[in-house]
Amino acid sequence: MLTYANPNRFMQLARRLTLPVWGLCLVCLSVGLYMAFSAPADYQQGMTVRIMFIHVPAAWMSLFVYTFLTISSIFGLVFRHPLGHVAAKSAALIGAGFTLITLITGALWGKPMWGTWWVWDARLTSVLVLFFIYLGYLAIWTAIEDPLQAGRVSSVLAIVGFVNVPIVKFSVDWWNTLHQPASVSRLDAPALHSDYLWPLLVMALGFQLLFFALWLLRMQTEIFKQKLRVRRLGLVETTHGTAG
Amino acid sequence: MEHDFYIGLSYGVTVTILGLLTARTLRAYLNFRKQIDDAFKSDDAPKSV
Repeated sequence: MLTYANPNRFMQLARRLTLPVWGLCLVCLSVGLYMAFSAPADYQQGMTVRIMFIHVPAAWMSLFVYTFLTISSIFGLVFRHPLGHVAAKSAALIGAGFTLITLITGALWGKPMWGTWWVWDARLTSVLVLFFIYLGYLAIWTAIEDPLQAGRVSSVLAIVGFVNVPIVKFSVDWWNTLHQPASVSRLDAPALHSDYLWPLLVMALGFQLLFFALWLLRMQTEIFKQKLRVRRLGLVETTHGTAG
Repeated sequence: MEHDFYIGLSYGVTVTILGLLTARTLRAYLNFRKQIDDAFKSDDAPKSV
């Protein structure tokens, strides 16, 4: 793992992985969508159950990406890992995208099932807070020009904001919510029939691969940006040195 | 029929958000990669003066 702390080594690995990960991701999402649209109608929800195949994986990803972002921030802030802040920054917009998908598809699923787009219950509200934390994290990177300082400030927000992740996960157990409790990650057995469970898992794998594929590209872009910045600073110093 | 509207909109919104995210990511990657290639090409170029 630490071998790839060197940006050049990471770039070599990323270049080799990018295309295969995109290929696998497209295969997974195609198979997942086929399975999702071949799944039978639910006896209560009818065809609306198909929203689950994007809403649930997106919700899982919003929590996964935030956890990833926090761990990367800890590596950057505490262990001074050269790629820690870059890894966190590269994941943030993707996580915000998945959280937005969770909120919108949740509302679109809630309207026909609950009769309302939105309720201020613990699960929905904590996911909205998660989305705002993502936006705050991205705003810090936009507002602060110095990457070192932006990395430090955003890492503190990421680590403090992590307190919201267990709240999102366990909100349905800790409070009475309109949102249903966990049905796949239950310790005894999943409450989902295999007709729904398999398409859900394949779509989740597709979303996971999509995150990894996008993150690899964004990481490479950030490293390119850093190289250009260092080069520009070097040129400025050379010019000033010559002029002086 | 009403349910088709919610399903279609859910998948449509998801494809749009993920599509925009992918397009933005790919555009930035290609743009900076080109800048890096150009920068290092000019460094490697023989100095005529």
